Amino acid sequence: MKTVLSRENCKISIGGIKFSEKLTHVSLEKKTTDDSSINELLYLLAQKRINIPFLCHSSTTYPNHRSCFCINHENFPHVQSLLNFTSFANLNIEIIQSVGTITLFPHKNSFHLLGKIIQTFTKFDFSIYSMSSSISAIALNTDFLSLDMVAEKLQEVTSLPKNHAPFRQEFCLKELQQ
Amino acid sequence: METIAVYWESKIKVYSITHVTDLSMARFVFPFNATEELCKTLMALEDTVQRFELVTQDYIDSSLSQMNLFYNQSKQKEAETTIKRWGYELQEKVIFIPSLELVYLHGPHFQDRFGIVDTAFSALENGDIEIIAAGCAGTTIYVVIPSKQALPATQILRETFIIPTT
Amino acid sequence: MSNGQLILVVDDDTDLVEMVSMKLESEKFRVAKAYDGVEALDKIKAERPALIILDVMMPRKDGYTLCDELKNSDDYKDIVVVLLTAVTEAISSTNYTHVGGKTTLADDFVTKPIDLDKLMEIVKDNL
Repeated sequence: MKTVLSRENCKISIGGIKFSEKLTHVSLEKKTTDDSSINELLYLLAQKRINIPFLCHSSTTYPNHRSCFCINHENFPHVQSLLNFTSFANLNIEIIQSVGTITLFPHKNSFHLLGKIIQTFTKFDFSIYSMSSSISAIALNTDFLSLDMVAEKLQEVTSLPKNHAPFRQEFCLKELQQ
Repeated sequence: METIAVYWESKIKVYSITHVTDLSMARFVFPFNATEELCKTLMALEDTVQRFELVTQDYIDSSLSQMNLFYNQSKQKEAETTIKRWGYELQEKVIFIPSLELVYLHGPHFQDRFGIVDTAFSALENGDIEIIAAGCAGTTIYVVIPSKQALPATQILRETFIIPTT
Repeated sequence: MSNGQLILVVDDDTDLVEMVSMKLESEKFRVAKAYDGVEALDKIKAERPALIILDVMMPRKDGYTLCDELKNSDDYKDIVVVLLTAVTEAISSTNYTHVGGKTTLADDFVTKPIDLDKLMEIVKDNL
């Protein structure tokens, strides 16, 4: 009997999957639209030399301007002390302590891949705290402890090169003042 | 994880600064129990809208999430038809915003380096460029801006960052 | 003229791989992609590219190691290797240079952040 595979059932070929370190996810919602406190917070994070490996921002949004970003988990105490400043009292702030980014590449701008990824998260009840595409990849933030399981389930709908295993970054840069 | 020390750049080097015009945005605000419907809609968009330029998503509260989808404006009719057909429950919650533009830049190890988003956003803010949406992942920073702002925004970013040339 | 030659782009910066690939394709080259040294070696064996654009700092197998393996192999020593390096001082010339414990037999190199036009010139000059 001839079997015809529909696109729905075919695995989508991708180049790889990678995981982040343990991160903390910070969501901010402005209570008023003319408030520049998110920009102020980004400035203070830069002054404290705190890296933001992920950020999403949306104005003209529901119901107010929203931003979210990730920081390295070790930097959270510094960020928390900044968030305690009175100038940020106008923000609704929500913190998720133990988050990891799973990145799939390349996305080839494919709606089909995007739909399959979100469908897999939903089917297995994995949270998506935030997501953004880059030039090549789709990065999704979920519970840090779920990363391996998410990757396993995503491999049910994607196919990786034969010698590829989901990997973690092996080195990072630290910037020094000259 | 191995840490490699590099010197901080007073003016940050980037690989490129690129702009895209004539974009539309579809903003879905959806309850988690409508996610399956959203996925079917996204997969159907593959045949009609064909490619996305940028996608971002974040959760609003324990029951709601929002997704911003950016695509070529010439596909607006196809996007609306597809969403109407597949996202029956979603369509009342979809907001379409036409005539948007996008500027993106990327540079070496941007995911490891502090202050880059702040540098880009501050420069645009000082140049009175409204940031409608942004997505930063990997080594890319995407900024969505209003119509006719891509060229001035690109110019501002070219003055703020360095693109190496021969 | 590219003559549709196959170029392998290897870097763990997936966004850079995509940008370089798009540029090469616009110049009518065919492109294969790999994201670390081990995967690159598989692609080299399977697809035998004419030229490899090879990042130095990568997981699993770095670019220096892969470059040396290729240049010391009778089967692959003729494949042109262009290294991408963030540290200009690390490679002062391209043949048999020994700096900081690294020996490289690469045919050419480009420092990051790369100028895509310059990279295209180097690719064409070396083919």
